[in-house]
Amino acid sequence: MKFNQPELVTLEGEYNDDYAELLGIDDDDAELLGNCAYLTGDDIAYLNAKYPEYMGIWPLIAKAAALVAKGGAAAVKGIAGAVRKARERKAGKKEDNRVAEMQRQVVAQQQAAIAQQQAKAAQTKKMLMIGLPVAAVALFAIMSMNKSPAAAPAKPGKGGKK
Amino acid sequence: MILSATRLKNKDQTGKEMHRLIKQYSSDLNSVYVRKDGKMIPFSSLTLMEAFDIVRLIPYRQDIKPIEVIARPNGILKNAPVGMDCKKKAILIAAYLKERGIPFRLIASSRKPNKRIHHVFPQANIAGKWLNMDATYSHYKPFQLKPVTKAEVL
Repeated sequence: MKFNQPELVTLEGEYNDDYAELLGIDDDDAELLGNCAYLTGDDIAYLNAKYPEYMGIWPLIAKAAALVAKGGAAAVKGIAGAVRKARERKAGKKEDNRVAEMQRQVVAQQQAAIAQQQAKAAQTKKMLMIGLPVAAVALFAIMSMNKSPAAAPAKPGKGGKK
Repeated sequence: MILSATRLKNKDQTGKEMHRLIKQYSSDLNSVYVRKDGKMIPFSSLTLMEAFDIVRLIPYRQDIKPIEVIARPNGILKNAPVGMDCKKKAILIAAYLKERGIPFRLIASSRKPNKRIHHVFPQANIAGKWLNMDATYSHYKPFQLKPVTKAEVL
């Protein structure tokens, strides 16, 4: 029986359970409930003091317990087991989602790093593409200036005879 | 004990199953005894207020999602100490009303602004009026008016 999707569970038929286990009370107290035709005031006071969470509904429980025989606890345990499995499945799915999210984050980080590197490389290339021609032109201009006669400094004559 | 689980599609499916259990097993309350004035009497022999009080004082406990559990009245009362939700309390009150020959109906309701149905409670027809009998929480009172944004008869 799978409970990983909405399910409507219906319990019917005869209830024949070990009610001590189901109620979470001591066996002696369960016997007190099961054997008593009715509970005395002292019994109820004792049970209320020991199990205050049951809010004093012991007469009701006592009669319900008196109707209980053996046989049905397995089905209730089956439900408890199914509920536990559903919880485990839910926890497992949550863990899977967490791992998948981490993987997504890692991939996104890697893609961002690659994009950054590519942007940097592109910028460097652009700078080189602009810088190299400018440098070449500048160099050419300097060399041209050096070769121009007008720009050459006047050389003093060798002086022959004075 | 019969245990059946079916894919839950909508609230009407739950309502239909609740009505079936009430119709088929309301007589459970004739064989569940409670103490009154020093005597053990059937739950169905209690007055309306007494029955309401017993159900009202059973601790509230929500079903574990995604499972919705409903049961026949004696099964619900057997597991009363662990608590129960509105569906089971509604079945108990409705079964009591049926055994006492009081017309009843189940109301699915919402208090949320988006009107999503999240609650169910019984109404009893007394003197020609439909009156709320919601015993879901211990502070609720019989016939108490309820603020709702949506209500449907199941």
